[in-house]
Amino acid sequence: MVHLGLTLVTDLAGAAILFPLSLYSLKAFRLTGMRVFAYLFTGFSLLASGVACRGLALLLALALGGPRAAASAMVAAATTISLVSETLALALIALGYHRQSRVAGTSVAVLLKGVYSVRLVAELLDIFLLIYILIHSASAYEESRSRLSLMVLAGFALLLASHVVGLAYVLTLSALAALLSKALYIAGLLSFLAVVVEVSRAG
Amino acid sequence: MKRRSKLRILVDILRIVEGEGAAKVTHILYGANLSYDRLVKYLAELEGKGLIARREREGSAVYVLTEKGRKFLREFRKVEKFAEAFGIEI
Repeated sequence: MVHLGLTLVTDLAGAAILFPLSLYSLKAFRLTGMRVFAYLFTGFSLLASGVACRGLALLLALALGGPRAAASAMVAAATTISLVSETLALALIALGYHRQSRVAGTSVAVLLKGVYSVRLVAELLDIFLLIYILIHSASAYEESRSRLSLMVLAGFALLLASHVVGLAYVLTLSALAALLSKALYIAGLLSFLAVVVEVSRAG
Repeated sequence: MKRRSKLRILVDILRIVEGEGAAKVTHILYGANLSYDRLVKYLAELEGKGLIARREREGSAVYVLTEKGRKFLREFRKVEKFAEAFGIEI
């Protein structure tokens, strides 16, 4: 029950933080016409929609009270949607970075073929994609040395750590790993929240 | 040296106009590092979009930022910050 409650809080908070990021990406795309922002917009929107969908399903299930078959099925379906959308979202963000940097290498699009609703596969894919994203955000920070890019780097690093611990949870079913994974996820989201606040102050 | 995008050139012009308050063409020309022909084309485009306005001051033409231009620059600064955070060059 505590785990469900925590998931509900992180999902709703996650959606609240990720939607502004997708809005800024859209604003940037409309102003510059650069395709990389369209990838970021779609990626962050998918990420936000996935967690919002699971959060709302959990909220509804908790409101209905008790372990009802319909509620359980709804949460299970929403969780699957959320897992798939997260992997797709990360693939899109990685693809955006890939196109932006024009670095030769394995096309991230190939990774999309491996998307299944199995949590283990999803976690592994997410870790792989986040490593790719992290390398790009680290080189962006290396170049600019700005506080903002450091916050983005920290955000992705914490999301990666959350997924690594999440993988440990899938393998061991340890409650501590689940808790730590959520805590790292929240910390990552807070880092993105700091970016949103800083960007909204500019101008 | 990297080639500036058209958007970057337009923003550079707007920033010069904003900094000067009322900017003469020659000031914009030096600040934006453009040829006269190209500058005239960009100024006409910015004027057409309502981001700057042409005024006559002491017998010579000056350009001032409109409210729409000011708003555009504010939005651009946010987008610039956002892009910088993700290591994206506009």
